[in-house]
Amino acid sequence: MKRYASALTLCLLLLCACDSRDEPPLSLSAVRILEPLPGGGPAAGYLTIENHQDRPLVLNAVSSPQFERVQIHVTAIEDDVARMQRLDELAIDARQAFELAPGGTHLMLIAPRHPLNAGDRITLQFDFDDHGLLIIDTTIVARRTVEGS
Amino acid sequence: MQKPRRILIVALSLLALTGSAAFLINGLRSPESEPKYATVLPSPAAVAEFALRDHTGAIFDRDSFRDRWSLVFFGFTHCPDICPATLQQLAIARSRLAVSGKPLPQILLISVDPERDTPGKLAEYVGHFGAGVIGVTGDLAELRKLTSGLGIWFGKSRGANDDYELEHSSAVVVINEDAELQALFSAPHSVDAFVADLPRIMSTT
Repeated sequence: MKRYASALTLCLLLLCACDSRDEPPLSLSAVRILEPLPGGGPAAGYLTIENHQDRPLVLNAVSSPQFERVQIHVTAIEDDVARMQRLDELAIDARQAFELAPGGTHLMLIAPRHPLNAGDRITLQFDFDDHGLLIIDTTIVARRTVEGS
Repeated sequence: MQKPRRILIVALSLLALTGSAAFLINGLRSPESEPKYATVLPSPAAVAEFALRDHTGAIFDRDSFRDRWSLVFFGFTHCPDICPATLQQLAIARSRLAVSGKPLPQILLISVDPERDTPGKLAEYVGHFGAGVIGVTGDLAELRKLTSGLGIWFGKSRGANDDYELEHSSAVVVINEDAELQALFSAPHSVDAFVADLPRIMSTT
């Protein structure tokens, strides 16, 4: 039975009974979706995905009803040039955690269907190989620009 | 005392005083006062002539750099990660420098995506990062006049669905009050690096 979980705190997923082990095959934590910046640009998403299995875990796609599309990108800086490359999938090694973080791999949430601000709730759908659709609700967080604000 | 000998003693005394002063000044300019993170040019290089527009629609050209220090980042509003993160770091660093009471540098986002980044869109975008942040955009040929002289590179790659990605230099360029390239910070950037080095860089002219 799938269970919906709130993000911003540790979110532990219990999947379908087709997996009889006690330990869930994967978990998501530290989900942060930063507010889209004014001007219609995309929002950025960061989180940690832990693979509890003895085999690789593959994230095929991410989607959200609040955005036209969600893509997985990686920022690479080489010779002082920043390049953003779209990933068709994200593979996480067995028994490893993968962190989507600023300056590296991240979610790009494109074209919000309506104005979204910090504090708004959105739904994210993660499509993992062999595990179907994982759906979570999370709250958009503000981008802080001045310390103490 | 004979006059030539008195003159010699005075000359030697003056030489000793001058040498001591020079030694003292060099001691004050210790390695600790040199920037640790930024690359400082041995001789500042004049920024090339160009003509763009800022987010209010006003002309932004070489003269717009005069009489204030500028921290310049070349990015675009459709960049969700490194561009807003760098501007955020610069804005936080600027707020920390404000306690010194000295004139603050202006922060410039110069768009490498003039196709999408109109002055109006930039006005909405830079407003998020607080006062002192200016958006600049304009004709691609004019932009290249500016970037080529600063060693900044950018390019576009087409994707699916008419999307495109932009690659761009990730350096933060420091331009002095005489519209000259003075230094640059290479990525990865940090607020602490900006706060540590900017006072040192801005005190060199």
